[in-house]
Amino acid sequence: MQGLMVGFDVVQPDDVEEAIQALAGRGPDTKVLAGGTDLLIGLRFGALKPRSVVDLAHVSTLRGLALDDEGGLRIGAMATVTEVERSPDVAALFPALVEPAERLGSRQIRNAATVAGNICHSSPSAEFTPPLIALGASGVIRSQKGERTVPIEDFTQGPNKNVLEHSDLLTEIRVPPPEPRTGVAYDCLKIRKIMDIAVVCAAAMVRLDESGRVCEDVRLALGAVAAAPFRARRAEALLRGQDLGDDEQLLERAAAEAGAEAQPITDVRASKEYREAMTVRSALRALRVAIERAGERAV
Amino acid sequence: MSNEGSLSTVTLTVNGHRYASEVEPRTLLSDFLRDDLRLTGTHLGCEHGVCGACTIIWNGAAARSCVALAVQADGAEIRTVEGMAEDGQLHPIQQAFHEAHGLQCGFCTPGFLMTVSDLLERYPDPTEDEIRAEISSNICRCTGYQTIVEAVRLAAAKLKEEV
Amino acid sequence: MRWVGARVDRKEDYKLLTGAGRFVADIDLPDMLHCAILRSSEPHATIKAIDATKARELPGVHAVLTVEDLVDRFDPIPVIWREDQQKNMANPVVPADGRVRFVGEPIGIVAADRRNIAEDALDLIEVEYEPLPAIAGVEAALGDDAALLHPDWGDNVACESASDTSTGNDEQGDGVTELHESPDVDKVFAEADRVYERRFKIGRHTAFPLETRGCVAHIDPMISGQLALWTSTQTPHFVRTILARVLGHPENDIRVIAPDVGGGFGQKEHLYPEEVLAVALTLDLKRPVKWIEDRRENFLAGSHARQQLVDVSMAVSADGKILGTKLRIFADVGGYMSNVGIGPALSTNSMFPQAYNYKAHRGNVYAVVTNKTPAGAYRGFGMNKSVLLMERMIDIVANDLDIDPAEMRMRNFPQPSEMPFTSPTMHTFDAGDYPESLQRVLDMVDYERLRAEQKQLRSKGRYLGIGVSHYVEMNGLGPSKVMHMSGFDVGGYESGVVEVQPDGTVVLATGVASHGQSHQTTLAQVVADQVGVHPDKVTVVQGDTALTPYSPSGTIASRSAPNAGGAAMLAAKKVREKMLRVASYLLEVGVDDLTVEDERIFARGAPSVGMSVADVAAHMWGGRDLGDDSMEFGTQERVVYDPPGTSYTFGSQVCVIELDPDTATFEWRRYVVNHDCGTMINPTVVAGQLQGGIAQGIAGITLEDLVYDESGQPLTTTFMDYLLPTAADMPSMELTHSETPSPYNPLGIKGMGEGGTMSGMPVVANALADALRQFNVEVTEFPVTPNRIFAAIHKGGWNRTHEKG
Repeated sequence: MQGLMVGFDVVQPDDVEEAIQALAGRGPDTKVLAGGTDLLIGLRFGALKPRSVVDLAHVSTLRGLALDDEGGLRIGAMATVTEVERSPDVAALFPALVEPAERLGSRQIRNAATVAGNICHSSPSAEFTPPLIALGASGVIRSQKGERTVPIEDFTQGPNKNVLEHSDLLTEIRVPPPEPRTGVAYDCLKIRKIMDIAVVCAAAMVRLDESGRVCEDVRLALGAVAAAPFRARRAEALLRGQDLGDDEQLLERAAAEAGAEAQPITDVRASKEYREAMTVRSALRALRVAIERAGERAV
Repeated sequence: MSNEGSLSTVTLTVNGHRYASEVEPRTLLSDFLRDDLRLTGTHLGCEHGVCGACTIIWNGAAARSCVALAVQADGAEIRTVEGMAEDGQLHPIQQAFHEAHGLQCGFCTPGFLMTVSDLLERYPDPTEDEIRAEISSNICRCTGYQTIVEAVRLAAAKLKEEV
Repeated sequence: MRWVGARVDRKEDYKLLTGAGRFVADIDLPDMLHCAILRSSEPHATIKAIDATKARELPGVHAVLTVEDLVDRFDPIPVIWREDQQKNMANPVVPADGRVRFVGEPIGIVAADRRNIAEDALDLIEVEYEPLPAIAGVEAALGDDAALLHPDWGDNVACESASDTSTGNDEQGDGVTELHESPDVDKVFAEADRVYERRFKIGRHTAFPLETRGCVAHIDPMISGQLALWTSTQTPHFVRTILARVLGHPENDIRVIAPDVGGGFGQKEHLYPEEVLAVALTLDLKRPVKWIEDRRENFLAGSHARQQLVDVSMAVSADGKILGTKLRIFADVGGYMSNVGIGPALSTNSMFPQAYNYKAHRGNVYAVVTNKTPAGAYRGFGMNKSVLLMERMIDIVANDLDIDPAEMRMRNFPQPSEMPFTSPTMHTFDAGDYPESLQRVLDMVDYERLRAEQKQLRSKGRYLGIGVSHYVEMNGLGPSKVMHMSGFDVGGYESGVVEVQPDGTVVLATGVASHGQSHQTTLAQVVADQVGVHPDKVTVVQGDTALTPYSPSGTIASRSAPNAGGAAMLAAKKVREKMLRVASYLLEVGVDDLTVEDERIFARGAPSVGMSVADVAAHMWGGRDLGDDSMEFGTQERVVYDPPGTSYTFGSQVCVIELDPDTATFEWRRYVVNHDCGTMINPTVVAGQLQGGIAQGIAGITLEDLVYDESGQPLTTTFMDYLLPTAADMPSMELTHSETPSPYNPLGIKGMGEGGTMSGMPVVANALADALRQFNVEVTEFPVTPNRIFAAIHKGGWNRTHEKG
């Protein structure tokens, strides 16, 4: 009954230029197809009714992920979640990206789904958005007008809403190189152990000073507890510049503040109250692990 | 490169056979395999990417054929359950499912077999926790999973013996 | 070699493992059209108008039928489980009064060249509704000013039923009520030391077989123009009988075939409107038509199950002896009653007293209509709620009286010397050592030590939950007389037709239809023992009304093994006896001195004097001299077996979990079951059935729930919202078996397809409750989701104790 997949045409460009051209030449009823795991479900349920689909399968330059010269990570628009999950470089340098990769969907979904698609679908619970915010990552967007770079922090604007114009293409995600004395961590809670949408996810970045005690900088990003992933800035402010060794309750207070900053909804999966409480827990866990990792990367 | 209002040609290899076919762009890969190629061993249990009954091996990795368009598979190399047994002899994974009673109604089975063949290729000696985590991508409503977990263990042992 | 009891590898596996199974969606016929069903988007509304003009004009569309084209065409689908006061005995295929009563209700059908064209056409049909106030639950349905779903009824209660030991009730339906003491329930409660009252809410679940529903209808020129219906069903003969009645079409012109069926669990024991609509189209268009349900339709229109609101009262003595119970069950049956009507809720009441030794019980059962999908059968058929409610109550009482929950059960079991034991609802439990069964699982987990560990961990801020439960399951539905007396208007017998072919291979034809139960293997084992061949030499023909003897109720109610197995065994035994008589004549050896083994009939003590089964069979089919002119040629024997009694399978289990109060989630530690289903035909198959049932029980406590909002709109319509358990959500289960043969079955077999759900639901509920007890929280609402656990721990949700002193 619900397989109301409208008819559409599919364009399969061979390079980025062609892709941009294809997007520019078609109206707003155009969708970009990368892994397809979100798009196809939207089509199946009639939530999306595009007239055109631009399939990036043949754009080889968008594939894969690699370290750049500075030691940062470049994730191509067609790089799959599994590639991130299994990359030794990511495991060594960006463990906070392995964790969401492991928890996203199922094996088959991870084999097809792309990190870029996860960001562009812009679900409030998108697994990769909080850790990419915590890592200070940005997205490279191409269109006929040229190229621009947008911090992932500013990318998502609401449920399934983001900064992309219909003629824009997110070609790459750039993660800056790991800094010394800096740790990044991710935590999420799901009700069905695997293959579920998160009740909450949190990602934290903490940079310590040379003493290893004072929080020089912090980013705490939360997902699934607001219309879009966001930074819990009041919680961050409680920590920034503080001696973490001084006050054992400080982290708890910051986590509690993060819980207060969350604005979750009640749905069939979880109540607002439960989500708020779990936000506190996930924020705390992410912060703790981030601090631990920062300590391990003393130089 | 555009194909508005027209059919697209899909050329792909399935179980070692090459096929070329004209499809509507909106045709799902699962429907293409089942209806156009008549490979009905790939089943549809939810058509929204959760149950895993439609799992195939796509360029060497397990994939859900119900959340992919046939045109995406242009040029791909695909394996389905029909390609597992050779000369009527069950593949060791199939044999393990048989011996461990890893199937009852059998509807989810092709998807599980594909998932497990991907799993054991990558992790030849998985622990019970790893097995449970990896096969949690597939729903079985009959077994409660216990005999499937046993089948995966048995299959791992059989495959090791073969090497 | 005795095959019954052996772990024979399944004969059905090869094709299923190689992708060669043939499920209904795999059927492709020349000229076939594809259907899509038009469904109500409104929970409760009057249809003002349907405009299908644009849909009819869409290229590729061959027919569009909507309510007005269909309304006078069919007789309604009868409700088979009947009670005297029942208000609706039948339900329309499409709403005859133009009023839709649930989201997803069929109101039309489209046939087109391809499925996506049929779906496109649905999008072009304009339906104008006038919304009516919707009823989204039993409490709302029973309110004073509640809107009425069926205005002519005067209320929203489709059916009510009462049973009371005070007045003596003939629950068993055998016309005998004199057996029990008829204690006055009110008097028992008035005189009891303690009375406990609790209200329980059980969630709405459904079976979700991995293969959705679907059918192919065809007027088949290969079989004399008969109407053929391949449908994904558990009950082909039942479907044919009801379909003939609904269509007004001669039953002998209909052939119903269940091909490979991808699970049923009760959902596929009904005849559904969609099957009738597909048949109507094939009759109109004279072309094959196919309808394959998608999963979202299955959420909306495949039968739902289990949801009840139940008030339970229990009267006990100070030392924890149960004296009497009272139940008021409000079953949320949805917009109409399905084929099985109030049956599941009656079963909840009837099996509620379980195997506990007390006499006074009163049960009031109300089938309440709401604007939800009609509720039907699902594995356990109400009995898993009997066990859940009873076992939860026992724990609640034990906790209050400070009695160990295992000990409280021991105090209330009938002792083996008291068997057979008759329950207050007149179930006579034949045999079984219940205390021994429970003790066995307690020993397996070292219960005393476990309780000590729980205490110790508690002091470290860790929360172990130890669940204990026991169940008795009524199954092997029959005898026929009992079924009719209890209101279930079908027979309980099964037939077996066995033939040894001229080459010595064997065919069994049976009316039941496997959809995962392994009949091809297990029934072959039963026959193989009698005729002395390997099970590989026995083919089980099933699932086709043209090829199999009539089965009134099919593969439901855990009845295939005991009933069809009993029929197969008795028919095969007759074949064996007949063959031995012929061999006796041919070999000139006394019939009593002959035996059959390894495909040879031979003289005991002189194995060289004998002949092959094949030679005897060939002789008998060959029209040769049988030595007795009164004997019929051939080997075929047919037995109609109506079981003399119902069988009662039982089991005990312990489950251990550890609760994380921070996240309100838990981890499995142990899951241990002892299970007794009498003689096991194939222990591997038995274990598989049990484990699968346990998963379906557990998930109803931990994950699954079909949720509606207050306006009657379903909120769970995908597998991302309704959480089925995955391998990572299930415990590793440790099983042991005891074997107390059923006295009613020629092989001692009891049914066992559903008991897993009766194991899984109560024991996991009790384990979670045991952990939550440490927070002074009582568990009375299911599923026990993290959300609810969190609310209970942190905000004092759920019940606190409020018993009479």
